[in-house]
Formats: sequence, structure tokens, C-alpha cells
Amino acid sequence: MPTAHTYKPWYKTPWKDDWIPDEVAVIDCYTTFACRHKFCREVCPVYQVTGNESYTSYGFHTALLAVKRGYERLSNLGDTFTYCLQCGACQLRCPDTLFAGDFYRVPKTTNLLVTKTRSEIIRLGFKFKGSDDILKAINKVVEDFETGRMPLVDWAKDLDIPREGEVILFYDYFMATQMTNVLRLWAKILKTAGVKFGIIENPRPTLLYELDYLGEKGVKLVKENIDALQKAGAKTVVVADPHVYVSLTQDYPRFIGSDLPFDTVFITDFVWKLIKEGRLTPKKSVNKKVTYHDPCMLNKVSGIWESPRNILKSIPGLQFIDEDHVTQWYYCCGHGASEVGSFKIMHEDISYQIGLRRLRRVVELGVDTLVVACPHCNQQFNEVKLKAKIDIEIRDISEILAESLDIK
Amino acid sequence: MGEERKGEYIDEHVIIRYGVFEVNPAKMTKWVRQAVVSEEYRWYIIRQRREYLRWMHDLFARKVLKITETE
Repeated sequence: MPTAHTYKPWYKTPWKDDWIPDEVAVIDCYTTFACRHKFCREVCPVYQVTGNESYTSYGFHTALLAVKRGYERLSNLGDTFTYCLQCGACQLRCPDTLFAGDFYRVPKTTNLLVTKTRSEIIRLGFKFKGSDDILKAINKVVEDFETGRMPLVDWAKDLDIPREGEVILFYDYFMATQMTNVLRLWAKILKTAGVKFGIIENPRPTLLYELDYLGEKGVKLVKENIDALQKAGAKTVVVADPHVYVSLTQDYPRFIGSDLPFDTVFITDFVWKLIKEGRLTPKKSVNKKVTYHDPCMLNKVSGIWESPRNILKSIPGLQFIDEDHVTQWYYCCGHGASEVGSFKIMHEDISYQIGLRRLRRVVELGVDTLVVACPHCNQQFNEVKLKAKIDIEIRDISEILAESLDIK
Repeated sequence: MGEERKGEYIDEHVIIRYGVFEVNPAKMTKWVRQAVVSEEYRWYIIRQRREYLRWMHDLFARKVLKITETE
């Protein structure tokens, strides 16, 4: 079944230290280098903090053009390519995507370009700042999964959820081990609405873009996840983590070269439909003044921004100060598109500064609670809040909805 | 990937599909190869563009001027 994804034909071509394919250089790099708009720069959360143009989409494409022209080598560029959150703002805001992507079908794909460059540097045996630690973290996740050390279904022990069904609530190790409360609440909300759903016994780590670093092992994990979901009878896969959602809808089709044999729906879209159908009715008043943070993987990369707002607007008593989703193209929590927190490993201070900038904006709105729909944003904001001693409550949208539905 | 309806040709360069203009893909094979773009991703771009233009309008157009009625 079709999903919203794009990738370039050059993606599978191996690069060399002093060579990149013509198609990358001509179509992607030269058009960005020759561009004078610089919208990618203005919208980039890293640029807003560092003021360094080398760390924008413009800088990355120009650096690769230098490799093509023989002025630079890939092995020297690793550190430059660490300064990217892969939030997707630049590739969306680029006129090549926003104003011509549907016409020419050659949209900007900076997230994949950064992934490709990093994974080629690793494949060629070179390093970049933090690469050893990132690989160690990723390999540990895979190793823990393979040795059965991960308590992947412990969170659902007392909830009596079957291991099959046409609707499968899918998650990976991160939520199962670090955001179990959120996962439990979503499961209880689905049960309250009378949805017959299941989970799978051993969801493999999805690891978002960084799955590429694992090579064939990564492809194996993708295929195993798809097989497990098919065997469980999944027709609709409901995902509660935006990073996992992007993996399933955009990365998996690239890995297997075809659409997935099931629909993938983000949990807020699924639950908003239930509210619209009258299967869930938020009744209890929640007396809070809140604003909502759009996770990059949902808003910028997947275009999902309406359902979380609709859910919040349906909750009685809630004073919702909405900051529109296009303004939020400029924002990021600072965590970056990674399951293992790679950007924080590479640039802890910049990550903190970006998160702080976002939280200060929240404080300016005069709210008492920041609502998030991503476990990674949740974790990042809680860390920044503690470090900066900012008095604001960070709540997942499931917690606010569950409170109104009187679910504990 | 995904089902794609055949476009209607406006001329030799441009086709129209689902009410949206698109370059004739045959023109994009020699110098610039097209990316793999699913229909859903194409609609994602179209929706985001509409949202962005609405946002720009809201941001900068404090007053929408009417066309003058007298010469």
C-alpha cells in the first residue's frame, strides 16, 4: 500500500573517497550551490544557533561539490556532516521541493544525502566526530535485541493484548523501554474506544536513518519486521513514535524497493478518527494552558500536524495556545532524527542551545504546559528544562487525552 | 510503487494529473533523472505548498486591497 516517500536513483551507488556520482553533483549539489535563495539557511535550527553557513544544506551540498571537483576528499568532510539534525526543514523549504518538487519530481532530499554521506564515510573506514560512540550505541541496541535482553512486551503484561490482529500497535525498543507510560496510555485509549488490536512479540529496532550504517544487517531487520507484522495479520499498523513512523513510511520502502503490504497510520490520526466517529469522547475538564510542539518527523517530514491539534481542541477546559505548524518548521527540540541521540553525542551543547531556544519561545507564550507527541522530544525537553531550570511541564498528548477520558 | 493515474497531455511538455501540472516524464530522462516520488509524497508537497502560501499571506498581507472600481 502506497506511502509518502521519495529517494534518488543514485542512493544505492557506492562512493569513493575522492568520487561521488555525477547525478549527486549536478542535480543536487550544483543546484544548491548556485542558489541564492538560502531558505535552507534561514529555516535551519543549527544555523539559528551557530550562524555557520557550512552547517546548512547549502554547506553540505557545496562540500560534496568540492569532492567532485577534486578540491576536497570525503574523509575530510565527516565533521561538517555531523552538524545536521536531519529535521527535514531545509529539504522541505527548498523551492526545488516546495515549488517544483511535484512538477519535476526531483525534490531536495538533504536528509538522505546526509545519511548517505555519513554511511559512506563509515563504510570506507573513515571516522567523524562521535562516529565510534554512535556505532557503539547502535550495535548495543541490536545486540540487546538479538540476545533477548530487551523487555519489549513487559509494558503490556497486565493489559491482555493479543499478539495478532488486523490492527497492530507497533513500537520499537525506545518506547518499550523508556516511554512505557505513554505506550500503556495509548493502548488503554484504544481499548476504551473498543478497537480490537494486537502487538507483535519482538519488534526489531527501527533506528530511523541510522539503519543504513548497519548495511545488510539493517536490511535484515527491516525484512524481519515486515514479516512479523504480516504474520500477525496486520492490515493497519498504528505507530506511536514519529521516528518509527518515518522508518516505516519512508525508509522501509526504500530498503525493500516496494510499498509495504499494510497501511501505516500515526496514532494521533487514528485516535482523532475515533473521536470524530464518537467512539471516544473527552469529557473531563483539563484545566491547563498549553501549547503544542510539532515533532520534526511528523510536521516537516510527514506533513502530520492537524490531528494532534484537533485532539487538543476537543478536550474540555483546555486553553490551547496554538503556534501554527509552518512557523514550527523553524523549530526543533534539538534531539535530531535518531533513535540513539546521535546529534547529542556529536554536539551536546548545540543540541541544548536549540532545545533552550524552543523552550524560551514556549515560556514567551505564557503557558504552563508544553504538549508533545514524540517520545524523543519529550526526553530532550525534560533534559533541557532541568539543565536550564525552566519551570514548565512537559506532557505527552496521550497523558492529556487520557486525563480527559478519565483513564489512569 | 503505488497506483498512479495516467496524466492528460496539455502539450508535449506538460501533463495534468489529479488537477496538478507535471512535466512530461519523457523529458526527464536524458540530463536529469527523476527521483522515486510516490503519489502520496507528491500530495504531501502540494499540501505543504498551499499551507506555506497561506502562512505567507497571513504573515505579510495585513490588508487585502480591492481592485479599484473607478478608472
